[in-house]
Amino acid sequence: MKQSPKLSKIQDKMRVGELTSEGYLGKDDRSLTDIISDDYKTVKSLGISHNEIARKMQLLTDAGKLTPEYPVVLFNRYRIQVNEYMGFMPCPFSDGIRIDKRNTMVTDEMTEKSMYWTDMNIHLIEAHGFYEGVGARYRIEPIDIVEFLKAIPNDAVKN
Amino acid sequence: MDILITILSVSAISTILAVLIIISERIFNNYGNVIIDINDGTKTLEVEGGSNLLSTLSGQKIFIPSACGGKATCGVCKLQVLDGGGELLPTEEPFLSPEEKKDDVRLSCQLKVKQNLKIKIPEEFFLVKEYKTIIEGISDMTHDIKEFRFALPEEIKFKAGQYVQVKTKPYGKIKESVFRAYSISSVPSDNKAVELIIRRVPNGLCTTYMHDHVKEGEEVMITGPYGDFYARDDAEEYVMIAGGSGLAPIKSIVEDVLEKGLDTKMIFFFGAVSKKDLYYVEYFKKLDEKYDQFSYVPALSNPTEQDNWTGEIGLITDVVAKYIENGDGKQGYLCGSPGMINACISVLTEKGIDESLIFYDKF
Repeated sequence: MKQSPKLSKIQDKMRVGELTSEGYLGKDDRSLTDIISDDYKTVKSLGISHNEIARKMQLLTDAGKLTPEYPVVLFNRYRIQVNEYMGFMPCPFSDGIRIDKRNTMVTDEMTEKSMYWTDMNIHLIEAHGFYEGVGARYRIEPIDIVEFLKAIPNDAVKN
Repeated sequence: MDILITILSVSAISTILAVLIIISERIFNNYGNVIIDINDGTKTLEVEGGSNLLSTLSGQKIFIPSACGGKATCGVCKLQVLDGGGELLPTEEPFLSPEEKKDDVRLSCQLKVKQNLKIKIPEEFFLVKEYKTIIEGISDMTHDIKEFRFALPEEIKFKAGQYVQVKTKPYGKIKESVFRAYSISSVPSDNKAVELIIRRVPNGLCTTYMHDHVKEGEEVMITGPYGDFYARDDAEEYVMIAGGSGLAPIKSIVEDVLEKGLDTKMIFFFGAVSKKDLYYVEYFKKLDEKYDQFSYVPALSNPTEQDNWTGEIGLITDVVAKYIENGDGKQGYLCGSPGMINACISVLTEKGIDESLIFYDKF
């Protein structure tokens, strides 16, 4: 798929060493447009939106933020630990948004499966539909995250 | 033969085009010398046009804070450009509030110096210098925090609580330098060196460089001092709260107050999860025993059994609420993660400390 010069510039900023030591693209050699487009198709096929996924992730992060670095359990199932660092990250899409440096580790106590995300992941999914390139350190696989968050009732994240 | 002629033709056309581009760039991008009027004629610079304002000023030894080094992603390098700045660029738009746009604030990394400019620079930026330092010492503080001592080639003048920016060198796959801000943990009287306390951030460009690549004896460039997080002398008592590497500016302020013999009371709350996250404990305990005006309250939110912890247990906000009765004559000094700072602001304002008397750095 064709990519605008603006998105190509953004993709350049996502490369290793530009804004973070490992970048946002991993070994993915697709264009940013294709990465976003392919993930959009996957998310759509799962019957959910980027926004709903991001809000469920945010719900868990918000619960963990109440006791930073100390685990809490939500919905009698998700064990959440949030680690916070000083400073902020600029969004690679240059939208003027600064994201706090915060990592969330969640373990589903029913399945013992864990997932790990940053506040940047939540913003990138919600605002830009971007789950990072395949092989990137913080890549969120749409299929995995949807499956992982399925125990969160939709009512819990209604506007 | 035809293929050869085609290849030669394409090569010749490409070469001609490249030469034309170089010539046209030299003609059209040659802005000549331009005059930059700073603060209504207080300082005037004659510089070569063509570069962005941020690097043009740093070339003149005027250092504007910038966290991303000119990539238009941090929005820190804002300056007021009263004349000659031209139209606001789309890359600047997201970082500027309506008020800032009205006040002609621009991102200095994006504004190209093409014609004479009239700009305003905060006075304190003129005190900022660039230092070629030598790493004199590296100490492990905790499992993810190190303390670095940077020997300076000349004296530095700063206020306790201020910060410097560290410039990394390219390393590994990282091809460009980056700048990051760190609070100075040493006391201002120790002016031939600065000490920084740096916590490793996973995937962090600068913290990875400092933790894994910098060795004793190595040269590292820094600029500073910056920031308005410093102790005001109009309070009876400082309520100081920190977590992680946020201990740095508090240590500097405490040492400065004690060294100057000021009578300001100080209470320092340090929050950590377990004993492995604590450092400088004995140091602050000794100050607590020695000086009536200073109290030290370390608190653990989740001590392990092996910690044998007999001190305060709980979130630092709860511990602060337990110790601080009211806000009379008090100022707040906070340094830590944004979440911790926000929570502590709530506690201190509930106790009656006006928000204008609560100081913090959120970088």
